[in-house]
Amino acid sequence: MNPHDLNQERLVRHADGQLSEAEADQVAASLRNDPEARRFLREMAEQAVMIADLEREAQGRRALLQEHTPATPAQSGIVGFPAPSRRFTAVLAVAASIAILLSAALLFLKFQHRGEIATITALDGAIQWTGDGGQVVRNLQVGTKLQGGIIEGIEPLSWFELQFHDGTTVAITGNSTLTFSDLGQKRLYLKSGTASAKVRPQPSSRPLIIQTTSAMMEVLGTQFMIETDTSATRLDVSEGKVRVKRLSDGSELEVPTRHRVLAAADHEFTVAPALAPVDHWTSRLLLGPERTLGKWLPPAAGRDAALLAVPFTTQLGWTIFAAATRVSTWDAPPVTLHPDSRLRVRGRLGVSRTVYFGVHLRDASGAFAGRFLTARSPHEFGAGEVFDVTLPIRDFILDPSLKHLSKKLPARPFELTVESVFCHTLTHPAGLELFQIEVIPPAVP
Amino acid sequence: MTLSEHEVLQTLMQARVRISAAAWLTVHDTHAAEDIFQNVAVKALTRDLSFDGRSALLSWAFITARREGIDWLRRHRRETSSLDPEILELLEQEWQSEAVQPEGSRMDALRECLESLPAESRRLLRLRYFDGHNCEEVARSMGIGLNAIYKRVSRLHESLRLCIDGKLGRSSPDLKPEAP
Repeated sequence: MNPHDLNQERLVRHADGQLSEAEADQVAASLRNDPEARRFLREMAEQAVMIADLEREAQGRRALLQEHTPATPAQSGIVGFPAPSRRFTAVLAVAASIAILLSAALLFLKFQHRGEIATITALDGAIQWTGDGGQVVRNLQVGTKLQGGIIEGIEPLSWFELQFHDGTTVAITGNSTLTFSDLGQKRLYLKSGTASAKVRPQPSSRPLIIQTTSAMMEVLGTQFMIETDTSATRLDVSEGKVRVKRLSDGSELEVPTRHRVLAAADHEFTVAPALAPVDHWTSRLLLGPERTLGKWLPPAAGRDAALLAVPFTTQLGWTIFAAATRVSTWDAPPVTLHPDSRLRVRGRLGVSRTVYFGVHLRDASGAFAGRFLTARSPHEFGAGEVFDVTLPIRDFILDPSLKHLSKKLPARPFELTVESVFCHTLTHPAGLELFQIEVIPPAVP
Repeated sequence: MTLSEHEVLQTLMQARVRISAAAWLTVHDTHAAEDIFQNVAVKALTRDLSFDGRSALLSWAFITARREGIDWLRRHRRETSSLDPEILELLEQEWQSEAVQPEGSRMDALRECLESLPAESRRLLRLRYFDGHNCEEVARSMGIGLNAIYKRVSRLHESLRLCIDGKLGRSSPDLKPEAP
């Protein structure tokens, strides 16, 4: 064997960790003095990285083939590195333009090698997807296949669910921003907002990874909900187990079924049992505008603190005047509705208009479970007069705008958790103010 | 002049394979190397850092990738045959000084070169670099002696280099036949 080949083989053995001390010294000397040896080692390292890239890409393509076509001998015989589609090549070519997506760079850096990795299985409200080298798409529909990218809910009541090829589903609600990718390992980056997931069993060497600004989570197969903002991540595990790492100090712990954790630099990092649900709740608008949608008005002479409906424009171009408040938040027990529960709302209207009262619900895993509402006609509300209505939950129906999802969503709003309560006067600026909202439990017999 | 965020990301993306490869030299795991590159990119964009030009950025990126690699080894309690920092610096300097080939065309060239290899060679490379098996495990899986695996891997890398260079117009495109 010539010395050149011997040297290269030694470098391969070095990378395999199989050199004796004397041989390691020879390799070190060779790398110090011989530019050819260094060139070979650099080339070997680059090829290793690129071969893994290509295999990830091939696996993604095989997953698509398996999903869309019955296996044929030719297809099942593919062993890595298939030729790229034109589209794939085009995706590769636009890598540089992803720079506009700096805010979610973490996972986006991977998308240039990918094909479609997930399908939209449900959506409601305005949702925006950014992917494929910076392309921004707003006219998303159920059934649309997506490459990795960034999904943003751009309305307070937006909801979006996607399904990866293995059946794992991930959903976001409200103004949330989620980046997702799957390069043989699913990765999510929840920049802000709320996400829930039902994760099918993942390979133990490649768990699903979820990152936020304050925590990193590894999931092998489970159901959970996450809520995050700039400084804290709140995790509720309804089934299975999630490993959580607090990024501020690197400490880690496992969160089992029906347990929760808060990962924040200024909070004790311990696992706690999930809070038992309750069936009553009262708003505390006096304390401020936190977790509300609307213009918060502090208490003034002769008036309680109030939440004034504000306009927001939907994807269809409607401007709706609404006010809403979160109900089940991470730091309080989840509020559950029963068939005999009631919603009591005290407020005022500037002019008499039909008022719509609604609840936004989620199921035990944190997934969106529908929006249910009821309406009261204008003559129940005198202009400028305080109103106080009590609404049986039995009267609430699935929001007609969700009719297309009626098979997927529960038919009635019972035994579900109230995410938020909202009131609106549709497109009419009626000066709706809310003073207090209550979820009232069924009367004790 | 201080690089904009766009220039930072663009520069890192152009050097992605090299920075990942530098991380691989420490961790010897391609998936970890990719994660390390991502961490480097995120740090560059989200920490309060500024870079006076591309070479300052790349120099920082290679050093950060190396440190991330050492952290990764510690966290995963892995022992690998690490090179002297002085040698790693030499390799990184060479990476920084060489002209960057567009990643897409390099990847396409590698793909074509791999397609022209026998299936068994492709399997060997996949087992080693994607599945992350060491050479002994690869040898067992393929029913070949360990020394033969070392020879094959070494020759495959050299053949692929010649083939890629050829396709990118740097020398002959012929793939050197693999020795038995």
